[in-house]
Amino acid sequence: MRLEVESRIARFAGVFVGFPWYVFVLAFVLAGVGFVFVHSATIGSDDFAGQDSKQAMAIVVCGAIAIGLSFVPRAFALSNAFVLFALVLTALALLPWFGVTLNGARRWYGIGSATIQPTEFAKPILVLALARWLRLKSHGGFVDVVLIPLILTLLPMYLTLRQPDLGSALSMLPILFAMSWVAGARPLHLFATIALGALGLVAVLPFLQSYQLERIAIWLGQDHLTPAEWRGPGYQLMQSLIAIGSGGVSGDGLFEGLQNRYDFLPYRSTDFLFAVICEETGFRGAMTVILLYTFFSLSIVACAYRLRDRFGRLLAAGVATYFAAHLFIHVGVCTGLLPPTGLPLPLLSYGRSSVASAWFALALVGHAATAKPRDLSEDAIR
Amino acid sequence: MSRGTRRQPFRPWTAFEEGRGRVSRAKRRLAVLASCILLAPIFLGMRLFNLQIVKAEEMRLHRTRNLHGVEWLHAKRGNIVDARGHVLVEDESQFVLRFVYRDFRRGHVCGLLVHLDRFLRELQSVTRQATDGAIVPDGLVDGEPLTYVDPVGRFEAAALRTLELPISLLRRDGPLGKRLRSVLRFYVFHILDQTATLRRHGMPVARVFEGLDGEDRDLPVASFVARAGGLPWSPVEVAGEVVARVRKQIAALDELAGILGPRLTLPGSMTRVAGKGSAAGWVSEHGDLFSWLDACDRLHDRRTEARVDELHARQAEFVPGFWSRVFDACVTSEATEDMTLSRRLANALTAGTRGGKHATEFEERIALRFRSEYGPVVVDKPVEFESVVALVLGKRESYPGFEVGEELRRRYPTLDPRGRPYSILGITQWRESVDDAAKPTLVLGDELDSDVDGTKRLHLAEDEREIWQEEVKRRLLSEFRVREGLNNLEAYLDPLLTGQAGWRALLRDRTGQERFSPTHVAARRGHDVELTIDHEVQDLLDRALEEASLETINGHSLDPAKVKASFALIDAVTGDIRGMAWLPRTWHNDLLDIDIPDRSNPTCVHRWQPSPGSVLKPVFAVEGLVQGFVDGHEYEICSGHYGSGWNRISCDCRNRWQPQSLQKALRYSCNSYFGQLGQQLTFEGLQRALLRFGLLAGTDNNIHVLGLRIDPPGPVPRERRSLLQRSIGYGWRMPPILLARAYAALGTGRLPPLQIVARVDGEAVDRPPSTPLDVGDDVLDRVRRGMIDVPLSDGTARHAGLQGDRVAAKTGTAEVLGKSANNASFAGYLPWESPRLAFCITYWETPPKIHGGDFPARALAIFLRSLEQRPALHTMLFGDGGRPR
Repeated sequence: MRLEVESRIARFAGVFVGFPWYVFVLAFVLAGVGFVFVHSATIGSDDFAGQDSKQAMAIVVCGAIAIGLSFVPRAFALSNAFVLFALVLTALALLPWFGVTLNGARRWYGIGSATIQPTEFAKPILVLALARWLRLKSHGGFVDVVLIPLILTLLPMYLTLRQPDLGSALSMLPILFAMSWVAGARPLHLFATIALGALGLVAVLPFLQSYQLERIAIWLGQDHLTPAEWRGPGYQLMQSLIAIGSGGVSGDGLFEGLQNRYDFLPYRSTDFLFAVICEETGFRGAMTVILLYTFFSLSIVACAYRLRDRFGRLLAAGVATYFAAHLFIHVGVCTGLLPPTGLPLPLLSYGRSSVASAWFALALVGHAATAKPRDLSEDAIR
Repeated sequence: MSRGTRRQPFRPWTAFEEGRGRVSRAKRRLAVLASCILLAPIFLGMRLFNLQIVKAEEMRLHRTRNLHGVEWLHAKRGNIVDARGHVLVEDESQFVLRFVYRDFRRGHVCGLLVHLDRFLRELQSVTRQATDGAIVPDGLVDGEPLTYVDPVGRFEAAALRTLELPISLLRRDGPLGKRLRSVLRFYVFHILDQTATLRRHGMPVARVFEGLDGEDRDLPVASFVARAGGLPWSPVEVAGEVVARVRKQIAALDELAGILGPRLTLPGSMTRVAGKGSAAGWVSEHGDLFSWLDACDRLHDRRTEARVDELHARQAEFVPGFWSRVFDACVTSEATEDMTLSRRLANALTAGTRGGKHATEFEERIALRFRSEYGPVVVDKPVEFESVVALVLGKRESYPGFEVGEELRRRYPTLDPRGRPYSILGITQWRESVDDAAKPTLVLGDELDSDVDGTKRLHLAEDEREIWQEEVKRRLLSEFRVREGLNNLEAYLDPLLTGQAGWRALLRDRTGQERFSPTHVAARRGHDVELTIDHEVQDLLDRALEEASLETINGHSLDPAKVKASFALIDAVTGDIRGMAWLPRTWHNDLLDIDIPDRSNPTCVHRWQPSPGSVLKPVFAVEGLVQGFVDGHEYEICSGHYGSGWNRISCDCRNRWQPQSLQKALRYSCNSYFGQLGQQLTFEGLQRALLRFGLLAGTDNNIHVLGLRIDPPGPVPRERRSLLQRSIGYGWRMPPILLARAYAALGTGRLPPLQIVARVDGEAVDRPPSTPLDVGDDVLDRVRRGMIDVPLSDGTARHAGLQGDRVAAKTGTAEVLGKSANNASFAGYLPWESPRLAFCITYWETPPKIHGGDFPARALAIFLRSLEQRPALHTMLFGDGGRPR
């Protein structure tokens, strides 16, 4: 009896062998930090009322689901990777007809009073699809390791750009390059692709919409804005810089950020949450968050490091890049390093779709780390 | 397989595990990836360091400017009251109706319909030219453009046409570019929001529009709205509701227009009146509220067009073509040498036209008009609280864009007989900014430094407090509007009347709405000033001058329209100014055909031709007596002239060929006698005499009396006069008020200090003592005897009708303007035995042969007769026992 109980406990514990607890703990810590600052960003605001409680609920529910999804059999994950990819592409493609328009963009599906943003899910699912493709391409050349993944990436990128959502589209590129790199792409191939892409971006400049060019112009001339630009197209960027700079070394104090409390920061619970963090906690707090987030991304890389299967390693690398790229783009936009484009920070910013997709990405990491040898053997047979 | 080799178990998954070398390569690649990830905090940290450490102060200054506002609390200006407490001028708060164009255009259905009509017409015109076919269906915008003065029917028709617009124009896949589409959607959205009251049915317009892209392209807006959300409406019901609301909103505007009336000054309608001369005449048109809205709109459009022209002119400097502009931006040119590379590239990106599907100059114009910010424009002031203010504040939703404010203005409860404010008061003006660096201390005092608690409540860190203080001072100074006196009493008493403005610190949010006011300094009202002048006495002086000039005296008469005269009256003992009247009181502007008050006070300033003439003779007589040049000296008999050559004067006195005496010389105003006296006194003696009586300034500076500025008396600059001429009153210029004071000294033996301000806030003003003349009473008596004779039967003022008035005076007649005119003066005091009043009356530049004994003396007589009919005034001026008759 005792042996039976012990063996059951051991079998149960064995399920969690390899589970990257440290990654999930860090994720919950980051989510907790995000909840605190979302609460700060929404205090006393009618427009943002209830966001903090929704965020908390989403963290708990999605976190639990993510832990559960981590134990999905490898075969299931492999066989449904492209199915999920196709589904998300379809969801993106049908947005113009069935989507909901908010703030001039059509990026969401309405489900009752809630909305769901397929672009957010497209990123971790892209990681899954790329990992699925690249896992058997260890000896692949340019076509297998670079070109086809590029095509796979450009599909959701194009559909995202149509919404329009430039930030989310661009955040898919680092995922592509990182996973191709980890998959064994030759450096020359990658650099050539990046260079061609950069040239392509420059070549497409004349064809951008005037408001997009205006944003780039504001970003370029941010140190010399005219008063009209300050009040008009440069407003978001300048208010973010003011909030960040005003924080100084130690910040105004939690919940005391003035730019935040007096409504000068637009989208402060989502696209400019980092500005709230900077204003309230100063340089110390901001760097702590950045380092914590970086450490979190590196912990996923460490998880990839100890994995012995390509699929798992690619998943983890892709997810690490997903988080790191979002950190760089989100903070870069808030600080004026990058042109203004709305991109929430996963795990921190408000947004149920963003929270859900971030935890889905973590579920991929969990899945990568907990895959059992028998799962791998089944994989080997196919 | 050989014996001794151990068989390894097959582990299929190891097929996917690289060998030792490959695992190392994969790990190396992961290490590279980790290194790249590590670069992120480095770059981001450097940027944060730059923002949060290096630029922290600059950003905090920006935040202070965002957040912390200051508002002036204007102080009420002090009142000016007369000697008996009648308020001559006071401050009162008035309500002002202001208009914010942008809010009206976005919030009122009339504004939306007018602009939508204009937008559709322009869109139709532009697209016809560009594509040989209009995007806007024909018939939707026909007839004349919609204006605010159009009847209600046209607005209803415009609303119905809006409902007939095909939703293809509003869809993303429609024919319009993003910018034009968003403008059109804005107008249609807000028109529906204002009129269709869908919100009442639980269907906000925003949600209705969400389904736009799924509908049939040619569906009109009314049908689309009717079908959206599954509500059981027909397009006819939608249209009916829209029309009803349009009617109601226009009726509300009508109500306000009826109250405001048809006399609103139309903005931008000021035009130059063609006419003679170089003086510019400007007139404005007037109209009712609807005309006013149209004028405001036209002005707005003109400014927008000007800005578009400017924008395109700037863009024309760039070479057309996107890449050409970018390459040119990389090279510094003369026009751009001060710009950084990033700024030049930014300009290159946004210059020129791009995007959209139609003429983008049109887009620029629409976008500019759409984005235009307009500060509040004054519609009308003052407006009544009971009607306008109550209506606008009570029904804010019916009057978007209209707001009520308060302003201070000067009010004149007591007016002159012509119904105008007294000219002696002067006027005030608002000045925009304060340049004087000393003002911060004066205005702000120590409040900023002492209000520690208040600044704590402003959520300022210690190092930010100094930034905030500097920012408060800068903003207060740059926004400061001070009301200051422009002339006369308002100007000279400005430091007393102005008061001290207060200010409020406030925290405001992004919309500019005040959230919190942590600290403030109350405004301090200006001081009330009580004058020594009584307004009824002033009225009598005015009338006396006018009536005298209307009479015909000795066969002479004056043209009332051209009379230049002054009447200065003071208390002979105390020096209190009892009245200062002058003519003309107004001057006529031929171009504008209006009378403008004449506020230049000739009793105090040198305004017209100088030379007081013989009124100076008593002064010289005193000096002559003091110096011993009168008694014991033989004076030549008057032969009608004296002297020779350039140094020759003529005399037509009635004492010709008679023995001379001082008394006779004064009575008959003999030039011959006084010419001889002057020779004995010499120029220095004449100056000494004038100095004794305060008629010669020690320096060229104006004489300052609280509330007055008196031009310095003395020789006329650059005028050559002989000693003889100066001794009979030529070559000198004296403000009449100083002559009155000199005669007060002649009567009392003491030179009194002039005073026009009696009290400030009820407290008597310190009065400097009068200055003794240091001449004996017998000297003054001898001069007085001569002056008593002047208004009598054979004196020079015998025709004035002053025989019973116990006046001791002297006439003066000076030929000026090359002898083509006379300055005719009459100065003296009364009653002669114990003087209470001293006066000086001058008619300037009169026709020749009009003497001081004519109109000036006559004006005194008229004044005294009028005074006798007002016992209270009489007692006030003369006391109970000092009746002149």
